[in-house]
Amino acid sequence: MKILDWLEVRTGYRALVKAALDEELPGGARARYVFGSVLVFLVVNQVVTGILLAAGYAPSVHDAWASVAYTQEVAPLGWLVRGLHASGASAAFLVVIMHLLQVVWAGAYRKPREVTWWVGLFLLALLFAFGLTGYLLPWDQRGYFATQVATNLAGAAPVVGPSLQRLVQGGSQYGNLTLTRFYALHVLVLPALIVVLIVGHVALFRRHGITPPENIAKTARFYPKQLALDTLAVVACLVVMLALVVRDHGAPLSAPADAGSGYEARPDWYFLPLFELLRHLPGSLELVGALGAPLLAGAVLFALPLLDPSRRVAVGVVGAIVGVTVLLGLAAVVEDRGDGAYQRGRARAEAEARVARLSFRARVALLSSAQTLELGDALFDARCASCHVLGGRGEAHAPELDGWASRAWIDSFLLAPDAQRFFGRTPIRGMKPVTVSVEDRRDLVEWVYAQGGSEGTDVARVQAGEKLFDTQSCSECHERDGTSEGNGVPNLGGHASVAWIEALLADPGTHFGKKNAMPKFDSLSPAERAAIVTRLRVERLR
Amino acid sequence: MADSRRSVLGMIVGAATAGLALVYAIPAAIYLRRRRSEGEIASDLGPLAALPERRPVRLPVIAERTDAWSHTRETMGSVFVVRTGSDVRVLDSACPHTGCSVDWDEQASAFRCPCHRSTFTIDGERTGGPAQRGLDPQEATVKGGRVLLRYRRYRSGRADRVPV
Repeated sequence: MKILDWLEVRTGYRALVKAALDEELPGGARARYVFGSVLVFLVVNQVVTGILLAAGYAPSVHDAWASVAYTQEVAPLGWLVRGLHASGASAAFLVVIMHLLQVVWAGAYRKPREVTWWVGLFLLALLFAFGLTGYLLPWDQRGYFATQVATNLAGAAPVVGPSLQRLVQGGSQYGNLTLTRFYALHVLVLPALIVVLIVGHVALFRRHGITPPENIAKTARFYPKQLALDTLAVVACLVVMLALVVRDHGAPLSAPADAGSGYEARPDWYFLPLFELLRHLPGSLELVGALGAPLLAGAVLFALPLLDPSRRVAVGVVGAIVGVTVLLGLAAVVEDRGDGAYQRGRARAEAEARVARLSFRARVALLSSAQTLELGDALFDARCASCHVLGGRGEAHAPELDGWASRAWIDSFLLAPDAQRFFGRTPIRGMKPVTVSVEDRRDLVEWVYAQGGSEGTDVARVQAGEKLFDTQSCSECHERDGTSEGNGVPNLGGHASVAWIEALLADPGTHFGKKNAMPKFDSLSPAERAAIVTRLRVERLR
Repeated sequence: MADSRRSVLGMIVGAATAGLALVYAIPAAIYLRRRRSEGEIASDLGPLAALPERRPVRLPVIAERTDAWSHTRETMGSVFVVRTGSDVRVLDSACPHTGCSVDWDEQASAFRCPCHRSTFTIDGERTGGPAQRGLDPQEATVKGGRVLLRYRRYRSGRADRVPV
């Protein structure tokens, strides 16, 4: 321990450690004293994960979403880092409320601890500022539209509002400067403020010590029992956070911000009480709700040590503020649960988010075959499910795609082309059922099936099917060379092959002519097109 | 008795704190670890016929590249191309000393590094200065009248060539 002795002579650190550990605890260690230490841990969590996130983040409109998607989807354990940062923020809100309630319960805001209490209130306000600025940084739909609400409300504030809004936005509209300014606030300004305030908060707390409970039986020191309790609480907090992060595989990331789209904007959960208030206040009172209500609550809390009511009144007032806030938040959740339009919008947004994330992966990292199918599924949900059914999802207005172009599907189709599950719901109708012997039908099925790829087909049946195609008057309507125009009747050459499906996506009219009602999907990226083709061709093998 | 209980609790707290640190340190190391090498980059340097005889021309190395979260065409560096008849010789423009971009000095008929004054012949051999090796030769082939480059970078500041 020579090095430590050397350090001790030069710094006197041992006295510091001893002072920290020997803090007097009148009344002894208690479980309800752990919240301050847990908050210190959460701040360290935010600093460490925040630095790691910043190491992979580009605050520009064109790169922000992609850089966050890279962290979430591609960087090794990036999802864990992101998840811990997001869940750490959520945990901080919960623990800070517990901390506040404990302080009020113990009467620890009273003389001479007024300043400690006020600094704590500023820290709570800072927490909201962190949440607000951080929410926008991924530049996804969620952050973009929810933050618009916040900046517009700020802009509606009397006198300073419009200038304030332009200042934080870096202009009259959202853009690159909005991101760089929110980023500067989130990683430079607010952290500097919070460190100063935390140091002040803890220093003031150590100056006055804990508020002695009534009827003290004994006095203990911080070390070891309270320290052990604090450590236990910190470990428990981290375990819960990790469990949630692993369950959700990181933190939410919706599709890239698209100012031209509709989006069911919601703030993060800790702003839901305010959101709910705005939903029920008439527009003329919106400022009262958005700015007045939190300011009033803050003012009451601020004045608490000055008015110094009895403990029972103080606990009642603070309990009422916290209780009403929690109830408002719960009401927002309950109302959304019962709102069908909102839930549909959410489902649509989630489908778009999956497409965006997987398409991103396809662009910068190769997708595994399982991920390609996942992207195909995601694209189906986002683009096809409003008309087609596949795997129990989607609405049936067009042919159902379960088992599409498989032998069983072709067989059923030949028997009843106008059945509901085939073209019965579309304007493309009128093909006559094929009435040949069972054996001949099997040959025809094998020939049509082989158009999608000859691997694993019965060559003799394919040849027999080809003859039947010409003799059983299929060829009176259908071409089978794969090139000539079918005049609204599908050319069956290469049916369900990669090229056939790609032509269908680019322009369904190529195969189905004027009666076609399916829109073109010609703006898909190559990776997206390949994923849909792969997803559909899986059905062929069923 | 009380003392031994104190020290046991102290050890448990110490172990828990060390464990907490590892929960952050290990994922952080994995998250930040070195990305895999990008290896060789294929790039088309244009038609052979456009190149002058025995005079180095600086050409940009442009290639499709996945650069973390973006996939774009990027200029990755530049090379000097020297044509002798139907033969081409390609040298990396990065000085093997510390990576500054060398220039072709027409009058001295030599490559000169503007940073620390290493000099090289037209064939890339080192003739002076702190560089420990000559300019890095690059693999190039002529196909259909076009010069196709397989570009590879080497670690600077050493005598041997170790791919980055």
